[in-house]
Parts: sequence; structure tokens; C-alpha cells
Amino acid sequence: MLTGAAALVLSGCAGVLRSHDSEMSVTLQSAMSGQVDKALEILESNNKFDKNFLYFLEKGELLRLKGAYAESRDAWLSADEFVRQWEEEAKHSPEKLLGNIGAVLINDKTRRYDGADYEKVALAARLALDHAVLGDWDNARIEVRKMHEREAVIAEFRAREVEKLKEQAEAKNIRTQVEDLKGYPVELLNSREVTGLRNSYQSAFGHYLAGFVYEVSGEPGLAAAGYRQAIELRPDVPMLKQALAGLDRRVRRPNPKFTDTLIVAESGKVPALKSVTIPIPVPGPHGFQFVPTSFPTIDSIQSGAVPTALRLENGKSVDLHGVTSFDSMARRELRDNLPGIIVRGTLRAIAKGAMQQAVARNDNTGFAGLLMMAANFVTESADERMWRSLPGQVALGRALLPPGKHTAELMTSHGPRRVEFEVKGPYSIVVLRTSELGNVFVAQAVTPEIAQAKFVEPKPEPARGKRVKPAAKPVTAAPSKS
Amino acid sequence: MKRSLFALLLCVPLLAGAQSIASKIEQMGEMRYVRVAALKSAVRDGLLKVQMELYNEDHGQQVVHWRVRWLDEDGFQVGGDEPWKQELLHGRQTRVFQTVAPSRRAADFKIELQSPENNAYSGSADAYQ
Amino acid sequence: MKLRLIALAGLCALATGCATNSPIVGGNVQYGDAKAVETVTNEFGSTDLQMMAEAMTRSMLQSRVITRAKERPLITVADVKNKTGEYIDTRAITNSIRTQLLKSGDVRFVTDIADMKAQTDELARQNQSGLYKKSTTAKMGRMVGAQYRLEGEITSIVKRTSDIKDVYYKLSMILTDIESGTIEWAEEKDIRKTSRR
Repeated sequence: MLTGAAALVLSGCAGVLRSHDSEMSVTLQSAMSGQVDKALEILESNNKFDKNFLYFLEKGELLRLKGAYAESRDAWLSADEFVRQWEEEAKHSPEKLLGNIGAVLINDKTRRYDGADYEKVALAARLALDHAVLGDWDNARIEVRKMHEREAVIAEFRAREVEKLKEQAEAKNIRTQVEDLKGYPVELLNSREVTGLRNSYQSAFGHYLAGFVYEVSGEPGLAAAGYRQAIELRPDVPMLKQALAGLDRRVRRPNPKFTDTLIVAESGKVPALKSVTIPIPVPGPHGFQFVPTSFPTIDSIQSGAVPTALRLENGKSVDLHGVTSFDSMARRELRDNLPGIIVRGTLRAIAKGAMQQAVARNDNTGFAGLLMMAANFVTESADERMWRSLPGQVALGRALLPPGKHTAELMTSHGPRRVEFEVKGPYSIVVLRTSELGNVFVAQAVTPEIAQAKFVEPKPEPARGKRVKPAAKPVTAAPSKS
Repeated sequence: MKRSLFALLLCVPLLAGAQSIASKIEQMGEMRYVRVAALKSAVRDGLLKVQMELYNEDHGQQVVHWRVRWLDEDGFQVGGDEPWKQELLHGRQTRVFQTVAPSRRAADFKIELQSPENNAYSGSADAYQ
Repeated sequence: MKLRLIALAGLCALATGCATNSPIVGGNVQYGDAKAVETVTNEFGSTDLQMMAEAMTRSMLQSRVITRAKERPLITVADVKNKTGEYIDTRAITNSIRTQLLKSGDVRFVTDIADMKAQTDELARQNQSGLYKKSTTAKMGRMVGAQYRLEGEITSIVKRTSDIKDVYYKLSMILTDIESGTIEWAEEKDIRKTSRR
């Protein structure tokens, strides 16, 4: 009977024991060495039966690496369904989501994965990029709008969550300071880059992109807000300020000879979540008893340096500025979630301690107790689910380039990499992603991923205060969308 | 001649006495604490202009919602519905609100006025404080 | 037979919820008062937009530019600059103002910068495609220039403590005589909103 109970504990978690971390490590290894098709195969075989939120996130990213933007967009739109469902719940029935906080299940992994906040926001930004690359700027605009509206939903929800958590921790007399968790590598979450962020989900990259997309659609009022948010998030990057300063002039009098090009250089990867087991003291009949409990921590390896510049064929170079680090945002997310994780972990430890004591009381051999301990170790592993294929760092550059094909060298931390791209129309976005093989020293196998923005309609040049002479304008082709 | 015409224009929808104030105000329930102390209207530059004075008899703050429905000579509504305006009156404060017609066709008006603390609700007014 | 029919009808009513005769299909969605005071959050909202547009329109209708004009003045709308950190669609404000002013019948508007592309495209299409009957095409070089330019900016001051958020919005607009460069009308509308957690 007792073994039955232990078996139940074990089998109840069979599905839970899937490790997203180890699955994705293999997948990413293939993808980053250039074998994206193989990576996609591995991803599919790992997710034959359960096409969940994370599957669509990773699939979208891999397809994007492969250059299949339409398929990537579709995968991400599927992922977006999950986020929208979460948003509905966060807006209309937050109790349902907040109820999750105190639920003592066997493991955090059994909770539905709603995605980290920064992942929900990053998804919208990346969808916008996909749309833009496919030439669909209208939908790109919808996505960036969704992005900042989503941020508002998250902010509101998190504020509620913090309140609720405080109540619960006080009611159950649990301390939620990470410092109380002896042996937890808190230093991984306490760097200046992490604590200096406004929150875990707003990024200068996302808002700059929003500004750029609004500028493309000729809406300086909204573009200004995007650039201003980006500046507020990263006041130390002068490049962001220039975007706001020249906005009105650019919208009123675009330079017809050049293409205003935004260069998005992505590098590295987000650090993986790992499991660390810490004994939690639980009151028992003979004083305190230590119950091993797992907590998530994060990979210590910082993702590599950002590319510094893009050197063009004419010898000129576009400086790239690191504006957003998903690495830091992932750390911040964990840091902000720790109080909740600690509450759940402690409650879990208390429940397990009580169970062990009950087993020990009814058993003279001591065997069942040992079995329970063993079961504890097996079932205990922290929730390490996360969007692993997201880049670690994003750098931005902006320049006026002559329309047409360009060959350039991207200055990465591992030396220059040759890239080719094309710009057209008044605005273009060039997305580059340098990948690293697993860790820093095997980086030479990778080639930068290039995406190019499609044709954008040239804008007429209405002169303020003067009569416009339409006759001087060539007949422009009908927009490609219609 | 021109001068007298102008004076005449000024007098057209002149309001005097409490009776005519009441005829211009459409309250959604009787307000407990806020009174319409005065109501004036005149035509300036062809536009009907309205001024309403509200007085809060309460010691505490009171909120009122109001908007104007503009009517033409035949009593048809001019323009669409106005947005509701929420105004705050401190304890014992008198405030003056002015507005002007959206079009020269407006010849008459009604003011929709509502305070959350009024007797339109069957329950006690305290529930809305 | 009759009994069965009634029973069937009753069942149908139960199943579809069509017991009432109101013209509504569906669940718990309701249409609201589009002009109601919205205080869901204290970010820039529908009421702010409506009130600002109304205040600007009513003020402008009283300005000398309009009341003393011999014929309806021609205005072009430039942008309302968004100087807040919030994503405010300022074109929604200018569009509301333009609509209300046009409805007053006292002013006319010319194509503004944002819509110029569509205008020039259409002119070019009519004149250069060779598809249109000559007598019906809109002639080139006949567009009318505006006498006045309407523009403005919206700013905000946001203060917050742990439980209070106070937002102050100010929309200022000016009407400039394009030929002389003189400012003929200006107005400000401010809104304060405070929320407590």
C-alpha cells in the first residue's frame, strides 16, 4: 500500500520529468551549427503529442533561422493564441491565474506554462519583424501595437500578483527573501544590468522597433512615443535619442536618395534555467527536518559580446549599439518570480515533510521512508521551461543607405563575418543574428542569419506651406498588398 | 439699427426665474447636494453660448456628470451626442461651466445633469460614496 | 400531435435561450454608451480624446478667424506632436477635431500631409493612365492651398507613489496664418486624473 503511494507520486510526474532544457540543448546545437532542418526534425519528434506554447515559440524561431518567414509567422501566430488566452484571463479573471500561486502541486512544472513576461512581449516584437520581412507593414503595425498593449496588461496583472503573494506569505508565515534561501546562487541575479532594468519585460529594442514601424506607416505621434520609451529604458544610448530628434523632419521630408535602414543585430542566446536542490527546514516531531526542495536558477555563462559595427563595402561603417539583453531580462524575470517560487517550494517541502513523517510512523522497516526520500529526489526538479532559441543580446544601428544590394562585414566578437543584404524604398530593416555553438569558443562554425526587408512604397514629398506639384511625381505602382 | 438688432439677438433665449432653469435641465434623478444656482444663455457671433453655475451644498466633495443637447429651431438635435463631462465640486464650492454650440444652427438646448449621489437609486446614497 | 409540437417548441426555447423576444443573439457582451466617462485606468482614454476634441472645436468656432471671415476659411491639419511617453494616436484627436469643425459648416479643410499620397496618386492615375475620358478627369495643378495651418502638441506629467498615480495631460493647439506666419488662435485643454490602488 505504501509502495503504491510512492508509485503514485512517481507516476504522477512521468510527463513532468520531460526536460525542456536537455531537449532544446540538442535542438539548438543543430540549429546553431547550420543544420536548421535537423533541428526542426528533433523539435517535431520531441513534441509529437503535445503541441504546446513553447513548441510554437521554438518552431517559429527555428523557421526564421531557416529563412521560412511565412511558416515562422504562422507558428508564432499559433503561439500568440496562447498569450491572448492568458491576456483574457489576466484581464477578466485574474483570480483564476493568481489562484495558481498557492497551489501546492508536486512540482511547478505541472502548472500550465504561460510564458515569461518578456517572452510574451518579445513574441509580438518578433512577429512584427516577420511581418515586416514579408512586406506586410500593416500587420507589423498591429503587432507592435499589441506589444505595448500587452505590456500594460502584464503590468496590471503583476501588481495584483505581488499584493496577493504578500498576503499569502504573511498568512502562512513564509519569508520570501531569497537571502533566506541558504545556498541559492543569488549573485547570478544581482548584477547591475539585471537590477537596473525597469522590469523584466519592457525592452528598448521592442519600443524602438514600434517607433520605427509607426514611422514607416507615417504616424509620427505614435512613433515619438516608441522612441521616447526606448530612450527612457536605455538613457545611456545616444543612438536612440537621434531617432526622436530627427523624427518630424524625416516624416515630412524623407530623403529620396537613401533608404533609412534599421539594423537589428542579434547575438548569443538566453541563459538556460537550471535546477538547484536546497534542503528546506520543516518542523517535525523531533525538531526541524530537512526536506530537499528544488528551485530554478539560471546559467552563469553570460552570452557573448554584441557585434560592434557593420562595415559597408564603401569602407564606411554603421555602429551597432547593444540596447536590449534578453539575457538580463530572463534573469530579472526569475528574480521577480522568486518570492512566488519560494512560497510554493516551502509549502511543497512542508507537505512532503508531513508525508514522510506519516510514512515513517506506519513503517518499522524504514524502507518506505527511504523510498519516499528517493521519490522526493526524483520528482523534485525545478521548472526550467523557457523560450530557449531567443537571442541573448540585441544591438541596433541605423543608417541612410543607398537602395540596392550591399555586401558588408559584421564585426562580431569572433572576427568579421561577411553578410549580404538588400535595402529598398524609404525604410528597410535588416535583421542579423550571429549564433554561437553552445558556448563561446566554438563560434566559428556559425554564419550570420540575414533577413531583408521587402520593398516599401516611396512616399511623396509634400512641401509644407507650398503648393504640391503632383505632375512632377512619377506614377507609383499600386501597393503590393491590394 | 444694427446695435438694437444685436441687443435683440442677445435677449432671444433669455432665462429668468427658477421655472425656466428647470425646463432646461434634465436631471437623471433628483440630486441631493448639488444645485443649479444659475443658468444663462446668449447668442454671440451667431453661436449659442450657455453658462451654468453649480453649487455644492455638501461639506464633502461631489461629482457631477453633465452634457448639453443642442436643438435647432424645429427641436431637432444638432450634432451627435456630446461626451459626458465629469466635474468635481469641492465642499461648498460654486463652479461655473461654459460651453458653446457646435454649430450656428443650434437655437435651443437642454442640459443633462447627473450626480452619482441622487435619489434615482432606490438604495441608500452611502453606497455610492 | 399538437401537444408534441408545443413540447418541441418549449424544448427549442430552452435549448436556444430564445424565450425572450429581444433582438439579441449571444452571451454577455453589451454595447455601451460611447460617450460615457471612462475611468478604467488613468492612461489616455476615450473620454480624454472626446473632451479635448470638443474643447478645441468649440473654442475655435468662436475665434475671429472663423466668425469674421468673409468666406469659409481653408485649413490644413498638421500633426499634433505627441510629447508624452504614452502611445497616443494623435491623429485620432485631429480627425475628431476636423470632423466636428466640418460639421459646423464654418470651415473647409484641404488634404493634409498624411493623406497627400492618396490624393496625388489619384490625380496622377486620372491624368497619366490614359484610361479616363478627358472631360471628366480632375485637372492637375488645381488643388487649393490652405490659408491656415492647425497644429499642436500633447504633453503629460506623470507622478506616482506606491499607491497613487497622478496624470496630467495638456493639449495645446495653434492656428497659424500660413502667408503671414501669424498665430491667429490658440487654445489649451488640460485634464487631471488621479488613481489610487
